[in-house]
Amino acid sequence: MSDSDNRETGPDSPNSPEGADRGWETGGSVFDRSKTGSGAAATGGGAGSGEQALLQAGTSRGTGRAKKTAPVPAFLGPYATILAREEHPDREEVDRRSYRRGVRLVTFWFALAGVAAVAFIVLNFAGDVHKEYYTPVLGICIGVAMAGLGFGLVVWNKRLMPDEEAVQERHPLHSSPDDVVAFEEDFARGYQETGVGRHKVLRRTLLAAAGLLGLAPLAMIFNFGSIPHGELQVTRWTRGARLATRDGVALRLGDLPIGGIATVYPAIPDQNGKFVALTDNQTAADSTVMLIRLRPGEDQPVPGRETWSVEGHVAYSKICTHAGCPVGLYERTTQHLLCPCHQSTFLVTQHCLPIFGPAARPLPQLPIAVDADGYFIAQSDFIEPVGPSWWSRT
Amino acid sequence: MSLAKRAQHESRFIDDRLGSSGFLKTQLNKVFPDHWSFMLGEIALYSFIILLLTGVYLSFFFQASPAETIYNGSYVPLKGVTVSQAYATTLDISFDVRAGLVMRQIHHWSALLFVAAISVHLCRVFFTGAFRKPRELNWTIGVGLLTLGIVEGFLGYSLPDDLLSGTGIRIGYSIVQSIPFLGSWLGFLVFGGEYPGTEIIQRLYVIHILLIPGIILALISAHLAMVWHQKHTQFRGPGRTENNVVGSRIWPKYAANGSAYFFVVFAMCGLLGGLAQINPIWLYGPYDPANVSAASQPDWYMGWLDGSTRLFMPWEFRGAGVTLSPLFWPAIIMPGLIFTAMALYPTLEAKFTGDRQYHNLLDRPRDNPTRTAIGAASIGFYIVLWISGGNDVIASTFRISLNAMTWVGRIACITVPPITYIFTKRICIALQKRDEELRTHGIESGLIRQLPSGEFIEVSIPLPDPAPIELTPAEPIEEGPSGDGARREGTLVGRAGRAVSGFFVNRETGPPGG
Amino acid sequence: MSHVTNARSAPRRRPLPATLVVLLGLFVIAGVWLLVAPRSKAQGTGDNAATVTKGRVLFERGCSSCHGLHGEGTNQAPTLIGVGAAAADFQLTTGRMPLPAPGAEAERRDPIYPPEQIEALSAYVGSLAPGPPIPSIGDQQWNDADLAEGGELFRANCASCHQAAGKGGALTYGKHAPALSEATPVEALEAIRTGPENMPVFSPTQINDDQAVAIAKYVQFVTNPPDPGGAGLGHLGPIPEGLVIWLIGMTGVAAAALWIGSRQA
Repeated sequence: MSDSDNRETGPDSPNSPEGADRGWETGGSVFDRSKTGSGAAATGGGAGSGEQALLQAGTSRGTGRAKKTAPVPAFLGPYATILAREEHPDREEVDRRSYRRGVRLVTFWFALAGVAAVAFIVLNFAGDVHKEYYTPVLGICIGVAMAGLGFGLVVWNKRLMPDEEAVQERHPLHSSPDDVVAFEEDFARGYQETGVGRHKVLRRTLLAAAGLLGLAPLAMIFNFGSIPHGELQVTRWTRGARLATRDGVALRLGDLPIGGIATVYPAIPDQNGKFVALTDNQTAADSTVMLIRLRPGEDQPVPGRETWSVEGHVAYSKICTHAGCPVGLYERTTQHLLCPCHQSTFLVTQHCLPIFGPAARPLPQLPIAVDADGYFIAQSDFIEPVGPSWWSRT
Repeated sequence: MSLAKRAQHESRFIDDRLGSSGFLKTQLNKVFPDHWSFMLGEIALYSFIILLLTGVYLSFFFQASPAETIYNGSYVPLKGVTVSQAYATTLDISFDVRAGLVMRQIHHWSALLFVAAISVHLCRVFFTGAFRKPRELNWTIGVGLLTLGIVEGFLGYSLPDDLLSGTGIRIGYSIVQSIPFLGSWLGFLVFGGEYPGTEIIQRLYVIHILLIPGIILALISAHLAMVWHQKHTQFRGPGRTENNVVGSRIWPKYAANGSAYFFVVFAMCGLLGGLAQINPIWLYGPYDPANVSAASQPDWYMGWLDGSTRLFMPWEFRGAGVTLSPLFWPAIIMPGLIFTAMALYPTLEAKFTGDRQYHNLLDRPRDNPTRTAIGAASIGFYIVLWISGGNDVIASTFRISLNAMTWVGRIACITVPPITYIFTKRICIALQKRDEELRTHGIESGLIRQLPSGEFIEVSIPLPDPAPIELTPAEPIEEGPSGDGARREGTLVGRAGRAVSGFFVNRETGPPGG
Repeated sequence: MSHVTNARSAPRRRPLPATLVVLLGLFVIAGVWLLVAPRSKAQGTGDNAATVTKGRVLFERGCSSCHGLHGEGTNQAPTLIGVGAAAADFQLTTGRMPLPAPGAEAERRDPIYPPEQIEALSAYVGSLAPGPPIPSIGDQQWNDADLAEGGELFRANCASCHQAAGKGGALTYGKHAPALSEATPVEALEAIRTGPENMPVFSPTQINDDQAVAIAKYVQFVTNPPDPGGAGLGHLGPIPEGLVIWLIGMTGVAAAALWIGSRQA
């Protein structure tokens, strides 16, 4: 236990004769000796006691016999100590059989892993990628191959390697007081030598330059995206835009049965005057609207919005005022609209007032009318921004 | 050349050039304590390696582009549908690339396992007090890794541009937008303009495969290097002191165990990847901002944030020309506070207990009832939010009212933590008392004997020597010579500090384990 | 040779490796089962006109106490005038009507009436006033229906309540959108046209008949889809996935740690 200087004279020390010689031809390496077993350990004269201890641990199991004496506590240089271990001489016969069983078991697991790996390779080429067995069997191959390696190693470790309990001393994590002071002094001296403390101008210009340079990448952040200029306030709905379904079919009065609902997009005339529905993601993200046909007299509009609906047809933004999910769950008899993301519930008959969940504002209503051809049209854009709240939303 | 010769040759070749043998000799004989719970962090490490391996494979086939394309792969129910390149290539990986689906599924499963393993590892470290001096820095790195793991997972979940992940991105945008002052601008920066824009998938992809994995890799390296340098903590036991480590050496026992465990973790991910279908984006369909599916959920590690958002009351501040969204509190402030508190916990505990000592021996959870109770209450809070994140699926599976689920969650997230706290603390103290009795009186035998004097006594069996590890008493905390309370005797801060400190160190029953 | 035993750890053989072998075996069996498990085939036809009179007799006996003697409705149940034969057929074939008790939630059950009586009842309800007839799907129409179009329409109109894979979902205050796994194509069409319970009604101008058939075809597909990636986990998304990673994944590897980390087998 007190042999802490052992390492200094061991073969690894560059100053030791063995270390200098390196013993390339003398067979002094631990690899050789662990291979030839305990007999060679005695001849490894150049080895330090640390390596001998290693060896003892390695061969006590490997040779399979004649290790009835409990090994002396082995001390591995300054690094670790193998605690004394108990061995029962009378268990030798039993243990030898157990050892052989262990070898067989490990071999089995490794062989299984190899077979699974081959199966994976074969299947990768020969398997039909469109068959339902393909992925599961590949997964099983990977699983079995990995499990085979893993279990084999565990069994090897548990059955074939000597068990040990080693002790290692901890060393204080902090440096010695002398080192701490020396470091601080060295640093302070260096600081003095730079003269940063004395040259106010140097210090300030350096800091200013570094700070300004630091701003440069910050400035580049602005390049990632524009500053909002009212995009959040508006949608693609305009006066006269038709309410068209995803297929581009503009809806007419009477197309929707009572208790019917349609997800509609703005259809605006192109150069030829033909109405084209805008169903791209950018438009859909803020302009999606639900057109719902209520029973006659069911709607209770906010005062001032009596003219925003047509014969029980009401149109509300589909974008939830909470987190922006499409509020898609419409209950025909209770007239609830439910958002599946956070369960905000809106009451359609009362201008989509939030009645449950975390949403705090009603769904914005789109004022609609019917044009001369009987098509539903928007009277204007929404009069308020759609979707979730943000700081400067007014 | 024999194997031994070759190994010797290589070893010396390298040593002649790097002088590595001296260093390696030290490292090979390093002792690592044996306890199964010390391997939990390894799960995270190994799943990260699996993530890197499978992720590289996927990246060869995936195109992070929102460009529209007509899907024409082998999945018939989507043939002819206009989808983004990102979605189409994910479908190709799933249906047409050889070993594509199994790699994709292993990638996703190991991502879930990665965060799960970090969480369990974090609990182990917390409840055993392994974060105490000198390991506070490493705890903070660990909290950083958890945060990054969650973010990284969410980004990966968002990449395929399917209906489920698109819904997640949409909510993410709204959360960014809810930040006071800067929200709408930040949203435009992240998305390159108004939602959804055309930039986001490409950006998420770069962050997902380059930026965050790089940071995670660096932090894992630092994490492991610190564990290595500071040496692992160990549980109390015979021969184990604050100044030693008892266990197996790195070479060969621990190396064999570690590599074996890597293969076992890989085996689990492989089997799950092959046998349990995860994230079938072909069923969800391509993202369309106007569509949504019932039961839209994030992956498990985001579930608690979804839950907190669901449970929050519709409290929106409007006035003075500004609006503060009800998303801000449960989705930004709450997790922000929790992660900050987590990162600072070692500092806070040391401050309030006045414990400034090195700790290389671990506590058992009962040894520090207050810490254990805080941990249990936090887990209780987390689980309530987590369940609430899936309350719609639970409601429809068990035919419960969704609204009732929400209200139960609202009440439970306030009541469960304090109740858990009190119960846990009492259980810990009771367990301490039991240990104390075992130590002082031995084990109850159930035998009653009558003494000649007529007196009845109970026979107790003395503890074996040495006593089982479990009954080795914890060392009492020695209070620092000048706690914060002592320094600021009369001030309000001083008194408050003492009050909180009394919360930790129960003066009436003495220090833990006493 | 011996397991060198430590003085304090008792040498005890743990059964864990065997357990792991069994688990592995189970995984393999599960995998094989997934490959050979039978998949049920969808089928469905049916429309006919039976005697309205026979239906009226049945109606007066079985339905009139709630729906009124002539289907005019009472305060317990809505009117059936104008709902059409499709609505009656849907409610009766899915066993939702007659309700087991007034006020109970109409859930899918085994039908109470035999098919010919359902035909008669539907014919009678259809005769009360014009309404959607029981739809019929021709073989040609079914074969021509575009699964991809059905999928797009399903996601746009149905998935928000019935979930992307038709597993159903929660609605407000204890109501539920049912799972579609048992719905026949005809029932799907009837539901689209009549809007049972809280479901909205979709008219032929919104979703034409071919499109409706495509939706029905997609419903048949998506409620029992092929699962190329292994067990489908109920197609409910991240929640079952989260349960699997904790109950199987995390628990499994933690158990392995317990085995590997223990001293000697």
